[in-house]
Amino acid sequence: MMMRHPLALAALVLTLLSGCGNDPAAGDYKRPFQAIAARLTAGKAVLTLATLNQSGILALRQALEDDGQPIYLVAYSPLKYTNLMAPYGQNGPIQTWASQEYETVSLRQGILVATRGFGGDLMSSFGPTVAQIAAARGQTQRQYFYLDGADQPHRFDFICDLAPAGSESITVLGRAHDTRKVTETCIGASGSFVNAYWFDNGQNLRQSRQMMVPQTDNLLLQRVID
Amino acid sequence: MNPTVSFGPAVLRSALTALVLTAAPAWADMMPSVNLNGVTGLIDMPSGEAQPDGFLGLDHGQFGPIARNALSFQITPRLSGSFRYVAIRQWNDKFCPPDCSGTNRFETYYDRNFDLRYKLLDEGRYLPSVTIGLQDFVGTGLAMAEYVAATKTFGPRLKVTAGLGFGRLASHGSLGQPFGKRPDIDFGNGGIPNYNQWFRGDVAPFGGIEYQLNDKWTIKAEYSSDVYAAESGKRAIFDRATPLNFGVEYNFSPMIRLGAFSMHGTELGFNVSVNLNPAQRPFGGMGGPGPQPVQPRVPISESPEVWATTWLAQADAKKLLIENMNRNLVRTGLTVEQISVTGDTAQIRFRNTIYDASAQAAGRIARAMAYTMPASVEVFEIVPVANGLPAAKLVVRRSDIEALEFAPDAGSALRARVAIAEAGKPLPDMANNPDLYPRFRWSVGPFAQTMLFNPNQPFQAIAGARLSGKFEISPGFMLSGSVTKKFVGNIRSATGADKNDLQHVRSDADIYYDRADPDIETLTAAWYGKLAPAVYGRVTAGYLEQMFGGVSAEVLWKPVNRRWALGAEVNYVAQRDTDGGLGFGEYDYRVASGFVSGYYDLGRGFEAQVDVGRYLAGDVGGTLTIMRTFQNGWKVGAFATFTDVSADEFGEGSFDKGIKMEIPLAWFSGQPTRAIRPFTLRPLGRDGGAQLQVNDRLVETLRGYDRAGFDDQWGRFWK
Repeated sequence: MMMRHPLALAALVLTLLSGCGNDPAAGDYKRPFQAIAARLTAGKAVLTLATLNQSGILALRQALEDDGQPIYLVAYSPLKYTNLMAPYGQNGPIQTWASQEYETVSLRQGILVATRGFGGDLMSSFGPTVAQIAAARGQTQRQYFYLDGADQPHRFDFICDLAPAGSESITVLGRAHDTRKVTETCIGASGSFVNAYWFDNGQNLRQSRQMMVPQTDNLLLQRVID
Repeated sequence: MNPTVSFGPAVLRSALTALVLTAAPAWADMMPSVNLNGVTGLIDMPSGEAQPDGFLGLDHGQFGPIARNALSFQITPRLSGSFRYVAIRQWNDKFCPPDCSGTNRFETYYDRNFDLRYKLLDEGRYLPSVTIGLQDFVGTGLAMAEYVAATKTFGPRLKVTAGLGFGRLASHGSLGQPFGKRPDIDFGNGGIPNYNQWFRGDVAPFGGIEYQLNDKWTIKAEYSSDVYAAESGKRAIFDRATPLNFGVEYNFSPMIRLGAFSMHGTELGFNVSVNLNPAQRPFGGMGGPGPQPVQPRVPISESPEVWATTWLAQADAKKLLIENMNRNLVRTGLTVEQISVTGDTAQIRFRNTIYDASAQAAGRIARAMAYTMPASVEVFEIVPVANGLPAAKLVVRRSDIEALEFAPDAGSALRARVAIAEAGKPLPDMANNPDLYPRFRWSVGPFAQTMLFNPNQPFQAIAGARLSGKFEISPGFMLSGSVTKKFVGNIRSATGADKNDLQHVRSDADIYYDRADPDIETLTAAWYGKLAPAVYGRVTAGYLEQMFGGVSAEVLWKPVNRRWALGAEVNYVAQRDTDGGLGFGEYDYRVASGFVSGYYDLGRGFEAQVDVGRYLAGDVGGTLTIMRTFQNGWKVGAFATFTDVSADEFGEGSFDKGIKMEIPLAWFSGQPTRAIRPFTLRPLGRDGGAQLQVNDRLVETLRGYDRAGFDDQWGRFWK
């Protein structure tokens, strides 16, 4: 059958094919980083997040707020890692955030599900919802899956107890937040760890320290821009 | 500097492997140490223990004028093998001059040893760990000994070893001859096990203790049953005042151990041992940038128009899809070669130049397809292509990719729903990537070549730069070449060297290394093609390797889902001139060689290869190669070739044999790379049993692209 409007069809095809075929390297998620770089590195080509002084922190926050993209600050002390991450993808309820260097964390409403780009990554996991954690009571079950140096999978299981841990004032990139703290104490055959969550305005998870790799310090996640 | 910090090594690995390896019992707290011979033991004496399965040890031990370099491999949990190169200085001081004949002509005496050890008994609550061992059991047998040793751990810090030695290990403090006299040795050309001697003649006790002071420091003491008859007696190279040795060892890291010793009351000794675990990358989980998240489709109920298949009628749809895929894959190192699509199925044929794990390459392709393909495409056919050869096909459902990305144990969950099959035919109307061919790539890199074990100069090497180029004309058809230029080196063609009467197909390698500069190593045209399902073909013509040029043709039958493969190769080659140029006149030697080869995956991490056919010197016979394989690509093994060349004709060593390794560079770097460093160690390079070297033989080309290759590293699909 002859197409009546070949141009219209071509336009549709182009939309379908190229419209969903953006190069992720040039994708939106890099915008805030470019904004920051433009603001903060005038004269200096270097942004060293971990060593910013107070005025640098405030300037960074201002740049991020002006840009408006949601931002996490992610820190992992065993690798001396501190970086900002912006939204990179969404699959159902799970959002993946990426740094400019393509380290990623995947979160289900702020709860860590997986990481990539760190080497010893959390490949996949099973755990409680943020609502369960915000309730600050009861038990949760957790499973974590990793690959070892032979690329073979390993699973670690934990049973965890949730408990309220009072209120606390925290600072996230230069801004103070009054929060309610919840702890999740997990015990399994391979050891134990404690996750901590700081909620402001009820169930809004402002900051958390969550286990990423057993027997190492927790991953710090701070929601800088909502 | 970036705001990120490059990933420090050991932290994650140590955390994870510590968890993975916690099953060991308490008495294993003290790692088995290595002695001056580079085998599991005390100071100079062996112990009853074994190294952990699969560990690879490199050791340099020295005391007084005696130095030993050893390579040891724990072949199975019980069986281990070692190759040792011994150098004894001042060997002829006492005799030469005037008597400089026989072994007295050597100022430094070099000797090659092979050892085998078998652990008979694992340590238990009451029983010790017991090992039986053969030391220097092939060849001239200067260090030849046999032993049974038992080691028991007491508490977390103390180990006691006692053993009985034969041969050299019974040269001090003999208790008698329980199994009769030890016959004289007749080693002929060497290379043959001296089984007549084993466990015969005198037997003598040896033993010692190790005490671990803390995590870092261990002290040791031993009573040695080796009198060093030649070294301290006949040749008086050192004074042996006592059978007692003492020392201290320092654990620099889990991989590196240093030792310092008082040897026989008069000499100082030291030892450096490196113990690698090929099975586990020291960096743990593989690094490299994270992947693009899976982009799920809009449900058809929400946007039915997005699911329409009208795009199929678009003439350049495939071209656009290829472009979009390749744009999406820019930072992965993968390139789409061909695409074919129907309304609900898309097949991507791609080349992988980066990921050591085939599964990771497939995973990155699947993510890119989820991002790029029109919504109606539900079935992804992912076909890796190597040198133009479609090597396998993964069939993955897009819904599964979307649903399982974050499922607990996503790897296993997806694997159960993926089919791995022969690449088979493409879908109708396959479109080529128009930008890919012709394609020219070149590179300049370092080059090095070593020659070991020449008695006059045991370590010889040349190093310089290599210029390589590859011109791909169409899929599977390419011209390639490489030229080397030497900058430094000490390989000299040995005049009057002890060579045999066979054509010098390999024993003249020193002449080539010396004279060929610059050296046109290779200059070839190659064709690769699929001849039938699971049957691959290759023809390479030109200057195939440094010493030979001609034509090489190969056929390989390798089903994706089988443990075996069968190959045949025929070559007609002429020996090249030694000046590195293009001539063949110097030797005027032409030979037809060829093999039928069988490959079999024995399971439990072992694979075997048998080649039967005609070798470069015209000799006829077979080669057996057994390799221990690790999931991350390491291979460690040995080979032996027996041909109709007699031991006398072959010369020293009697037949061709050696140790082979393939070392994936990703193991060291923790970053994905397909680079593999092959390594062959021959105690002697001779002319019998020599095979032609050809780049990119079919088995190497297809490496990792079978079911076992995908499954060994399947977890990397989601990485």
